[in-house]
Amino acid sequence: MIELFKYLKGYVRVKVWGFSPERFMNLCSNKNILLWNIVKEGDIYIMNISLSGFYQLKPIVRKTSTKVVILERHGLPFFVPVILSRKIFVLGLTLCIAFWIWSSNYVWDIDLSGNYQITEDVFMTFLSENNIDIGTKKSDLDLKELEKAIRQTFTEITWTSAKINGTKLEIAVKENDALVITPASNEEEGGKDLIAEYDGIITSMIVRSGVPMVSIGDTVESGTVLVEGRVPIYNEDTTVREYQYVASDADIYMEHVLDYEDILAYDYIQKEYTGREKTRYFLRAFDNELKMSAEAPYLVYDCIIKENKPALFDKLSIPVFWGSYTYREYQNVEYVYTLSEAKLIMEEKIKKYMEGLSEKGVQIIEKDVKIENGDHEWIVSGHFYVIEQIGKSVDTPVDADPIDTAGEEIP
Amino acid sequence: MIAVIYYYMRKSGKFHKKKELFVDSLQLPKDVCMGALKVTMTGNSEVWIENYKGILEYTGQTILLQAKTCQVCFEGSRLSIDYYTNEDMKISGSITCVRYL
Repeated sequence: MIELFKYLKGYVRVKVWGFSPERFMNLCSNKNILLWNIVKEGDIYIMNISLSGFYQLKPIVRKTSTKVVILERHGLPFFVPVILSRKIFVLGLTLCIAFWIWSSNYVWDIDLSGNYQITEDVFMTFLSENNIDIGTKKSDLDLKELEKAIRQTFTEITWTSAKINGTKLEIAVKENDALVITPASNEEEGGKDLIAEYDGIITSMIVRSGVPMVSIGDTVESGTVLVEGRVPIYNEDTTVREYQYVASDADIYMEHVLDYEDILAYDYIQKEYTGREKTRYFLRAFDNELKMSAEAPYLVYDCIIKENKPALFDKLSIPVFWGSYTYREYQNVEYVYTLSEAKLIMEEKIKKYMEGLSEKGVQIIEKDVKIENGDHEWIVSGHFYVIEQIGKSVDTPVDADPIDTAGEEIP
Repeated sequence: MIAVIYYYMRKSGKFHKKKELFVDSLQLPKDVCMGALKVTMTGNSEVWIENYKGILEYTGQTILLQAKTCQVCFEGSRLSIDYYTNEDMKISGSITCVRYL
């Protein structure tokens, strides 16, 4: 720190000789002139003296009859005139700093996080529709308004945060990952029936609204009405006065058979890399790309694109990228599965299928699956005995005139 | 009357002794009250000195300083003064001897 101040104020290295250099030093210290790095070489004293002190030396020199000669000049007061004489350099430096400051007023990067359902492309289109793009002035951005617009445009976004970090616009969103529950509208005309989706046996049934048409242990066919949304209201003489239509609601579990079938061809194609690779480097600014060679070097290839961003300043992102395309040649080679290989793959598939079922809340009671030799393929077929919640909601057929049925007897 | 006693004591050197006693009994720092020389050494290579009057002699082998009540001589080789102000100074080099004269 002291060194910095010394540098800023400037100092000179002088040599002092003559009648009484010690007295010269004492007088200097009495006048509060700082001396440092005092070395004696023969009869000569060499020391550093501050620039302001050096200007006060004249009476001291006269008094002590010594001689003072400057050896070196250090510090900013000596450096500034030198640098000012290089006009182009100073101009360039000033322009560079000015450009830097000016460019930091713009958004140079947009970072989106937290989006799962909404793709980045969709979001960027939305942003450009709202006049927010790379190169937008930071002062033109109204982050509060932007947050509001995001929430209004994308209903699935429940929370947004937009902030500017350096020249980067950081948008964080949170999507509603819970299931969207649409409340059953009571105003809806007409009732809802629950019908069976499969053939099977009812194992459990809890009805909350509607009239149950089947009971536990019943064997039902697909399409059978399980719960009816037409609730009869009886007269005192047990005749039906009218029907009220409600949306049926029930937890019904059914034991049924799920057929499973899967085929796996004997032969399959696998990529085999030949080991030949070619790398093309590119440089991209905004949407303009400068590439070494545009043509792909192989007939059959895949490509790895590596993209780098200037990481010079974390907060100053510039839309300039560089990187490489690495083309890797490969050949499609045909292989044939052996029985054991096929078994492994099939078992894995069945396991995944079963996992998928249990995720849906389906309880598997029994499974019966076997692998057979088909025509140029392995065939897996079998059944799963499962217990599953059923009940598909359909509109209750409405009678033309409910009053007509008023005289109907109770079944 | 007091002035006469003060003058008498000062002349006879008794004042200095009384002052020393006074400073001692109150446990005051002597470098502040008596203007005693303060020498701080780290190893044999660096010395910080305060409360001196000036340099009497400076060569590469000896540095002789004048203090209020005494002189002190640092002997050694390649002695240099790192900084020199009215308040304090720093000497560095290889010091072999510190003598009070």
